[in-house]
Order: sequence, then structure tokens, then C-alpha cells
Amino acid sequence: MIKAFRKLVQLLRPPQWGSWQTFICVALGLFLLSLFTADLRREALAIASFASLSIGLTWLGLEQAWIFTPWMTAALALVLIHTLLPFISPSLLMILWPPFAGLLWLTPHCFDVETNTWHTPVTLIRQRFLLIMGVQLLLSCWLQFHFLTQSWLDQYPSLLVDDFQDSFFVAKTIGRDRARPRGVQFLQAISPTVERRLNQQDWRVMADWLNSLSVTHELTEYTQDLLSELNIEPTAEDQFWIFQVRAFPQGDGYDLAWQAQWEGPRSAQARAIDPYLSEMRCAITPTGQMSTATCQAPYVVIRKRTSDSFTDERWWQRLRLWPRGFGRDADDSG
Amino acid sequence: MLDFFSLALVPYPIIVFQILALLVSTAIEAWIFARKLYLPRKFCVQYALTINLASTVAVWLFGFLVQALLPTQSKLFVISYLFFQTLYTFEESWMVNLISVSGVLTIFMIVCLVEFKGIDILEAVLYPEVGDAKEESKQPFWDRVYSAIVQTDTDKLSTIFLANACSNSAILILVLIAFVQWYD
Repeated sequence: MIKAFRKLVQLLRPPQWGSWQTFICVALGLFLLSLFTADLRREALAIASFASLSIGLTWLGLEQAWIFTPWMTAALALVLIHTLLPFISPSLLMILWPPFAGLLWLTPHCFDVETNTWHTPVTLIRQRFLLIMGVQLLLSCWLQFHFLTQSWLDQYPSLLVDDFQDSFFVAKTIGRDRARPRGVQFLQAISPTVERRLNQQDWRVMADWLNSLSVTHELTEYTQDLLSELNIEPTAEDQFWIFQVRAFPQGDGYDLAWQAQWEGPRSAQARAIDPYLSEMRCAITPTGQMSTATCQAPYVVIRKRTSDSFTDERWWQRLRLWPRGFGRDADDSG
Repeated sequence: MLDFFSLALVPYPIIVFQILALLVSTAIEAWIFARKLYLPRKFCVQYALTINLASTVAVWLFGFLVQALLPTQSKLFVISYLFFQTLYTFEESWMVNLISVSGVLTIFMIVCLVEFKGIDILEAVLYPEVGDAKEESKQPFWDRVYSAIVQTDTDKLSTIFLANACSNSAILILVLIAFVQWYD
């Protein structure tokens, strides 16, 4: 322990004033100072400490000729910018990171330290720079595409329950089964209101109403009315949810099934098993002359795969490149 | 801190495909440049890789621009296509075919344009001594770049077109071969 500490001190002792150790030591000192202050002074000291650390690390990287120095410096500088100007979106800074690093890579090759002048770099550096910059821009494009899909998922969060195996562009990674359709959230939100409205009603009126719901109804106005009372944050996908309600007799009361259906874009797999369909069941029973309503927690209805509605074919297998009955798929008649 | 960076949906299939496609098209285009433009092989590989990177970036930028300009309803087709490989509400296959063929054609034209101007600019930027007269190399740097942008060489244009047609067809054939192993 003491040995390691002594080694650290030896490493960080500046050999002369102008060295990377000086900046690291200044950063450490400022950081220690910032621990004993508060509020704005603390922020300022921490930022100064971080800036000093960035300069020290960059100096170290240039001295040791690490390959990743420009990328490290760019990342540190962008983190600093993010701290100083928090209104710039972090995704923009992230997209700027690779090209910024590419420009930093070029800087030592076209800046002359002795004469303090800029000049066009030599041919070999120019061609390397073009290749590096091309790769950096491509990385930026991929990052931007990732952020674009993220923003689409923010607008249409329910799409995450779908199956992405046909996609040529994106794939699901972690949290595959954690996503739930927004329909569940809607039904969860309306359930207290539904219970309140259907409780303590005259049973005869209630039974008539429930009888009229023996066929599936959309009840657009009724559900719109319910949903407008809630404070769920609206998203672009809300227009694609439609609500249906149906009642059927159960014992001496009725079971009221609320279904939220997804009308938006979906994959070919989801057309068969429909992972979006959410349902909530409310049991409405007579208690004397009055009604009692209790709603269960909403759940996702997963339809069973039936052989006629679902095939394991992928989209390229559904592409017909040559006519049917020609070649190996002759026996496959559909 | 990194809550803006969600990894639930990651575009790694397109990244892998693009890296492979870049390798294939660089190899094929470098070979064609070496045959047609009489440049040294090392230059050809560098040229091909650089202009392929440039054209890939240009296609991405074009895509971002188009999706930003699309109205909300049409953006749903794009989302549906990118996520599920289906065109939302377009059931007729001729419509799908029309859209995809025109899209592919547009991308091919962008690639050809960027690569054609790219190779001219590259020659001006990197090797003033290759393939040009001696007095050309005495021109200042930005003059050379400017004249590369303005002047057009039809011979080079046809070479770029041929190289792109070959490399894109090769990638298409590879993709089809990759699908045929499931196609039964």
C-alpha cells in the first residue's frame, strides 16, 4: 500500500515546471480544494480541475505518442462543453465526437510550433487524414442513425414489443421482454375511473347497458372522455390505439372486457400473434339493488400461433424470385 | 448520465453489412481503376476506399435529409420499412416495388456523382504529379481543387459508372446467395 503510494508520488512529481505532471497535480489540488467548498465556488473549482486534468492527459498522450490521444482529448473537451453548456443536447456532442477527434488528429501535422504558423500538410498525411476523416464521418452517421431510431421509439414506444427479426437495419439487444405496450398503461390508468363510474349504480339500468354491450363496441366517445381526464404524457402513437369493450354474463353478474388494439405499423410476425393487444377485465356483480365493480390488472393477450395464421417464413422467403412449381419448392402449394 | 443512450434497439445489422459491403466494393473498384485509369495499385486501393467512404456518408446524409423533410404520415412508412421490412398501409406489391426501385436508383446516382467528383478532388489533393501535365502541379493547392471540381473527364465518368455497377451488382449477388441458403 505504502509502496504503491510512493510509486504514485514518484510518477506524479514534476521533473520541471512545464510538464504533464504539473497539470495533473494542479488538477488534484483543485479537486481537493473543491471538496471543502460549496455551491458556485465548488462548481468552478471542479471545472477548473477537470480542464487541468484534460490538459495534463493530452500532454501525456502527446509525449507518449498514444494512438488514441485525439479521441481522448476530444472526449474530455466535449464532456467539459457538456458541463459548461448543458443546453446542448448530449447526442449532438456524441455525434460531433468522431469528426472532432479527426480534426485534432490533423492539427499537429499542419501546425508548426516553432514558427507558430499553419501550413498544408504533406501528401502522406493528407491521404491518411482523408481516410481517417471518412471513417469518423461514417461512425458519426451510425451514431446519428442510432439516435434517430431512439427518437422514433420515444414517439412510438409500443413498437419495442414487436419482433424485429425481419429488419435489415436494427436488432433488439437487451431488455427484449421488459417492454410492455402502451395499451396496458392506458387501461391501468382508466381502471380507477371505470370502477368509480360503475360502482353503486342502479343494477337494472346497469344490466340493460351491459346487455347492449354483448356485441363488441368501440365506445370511442366514452373512452376519449375517460382518457382526456388522465394525465398520461401524450405521444405520437396515441392515435393508433383503439379501445373496444364487450360484456358477457358471468355467474349472476357480468364480465366487462376492455381491449386496447394497435392499428399502427407492425411486423409480419405481429400480424399473427399480436403482442400489442392489451386487455382488462372488470367483474360487475349485483349487491342488492346496486352494482359493484372490481377491475383486474390489465395484461397483454398473446394469441396462440395457429398453423394457418402464422408461418415461420421470413420476408425473403416470401419473395418469389422464380415462378412456383419450378425448382425445389414445387411441392409447396400455398 | 448516459440515460439518453438506450441500447434496447441497436443498428448493428446495418453496420456489419456496411463494413462488408465497403470491403467488397473497395476491392472490385480498385481493380477496375487499376485496369482502366492506369494508376499505381496502391493509389487505386486508397482512392477506392476514400471515395466509397465519401459516397456512403453522402447516402446517409441524403437519408437523414429525406426523413427530416417527410411529413409525419409518410415517416411511418420509413419507420415501418426500417424496423419491420414492411411498408405500412401499402399492401399492393407494385407500389412497394416502385418505391424501392426508385430509391435504389436515386442512391446509385448519388453514389456515382459523389465518387466521380471525389476521385477528381482526390487526385488534385493528393497526387498533383500523377496523370497530369507538369505545369499543373505548379498550380496552388486550392486552384487545383477548384479546377478538379469544374472540369469533367468523360472517360473517368464512364470508368466510375462501370466500377460502381460492377461492385453494386456483386454485393447484390452476394446478398441473394446469402438468402438462397434459407430459401427453400
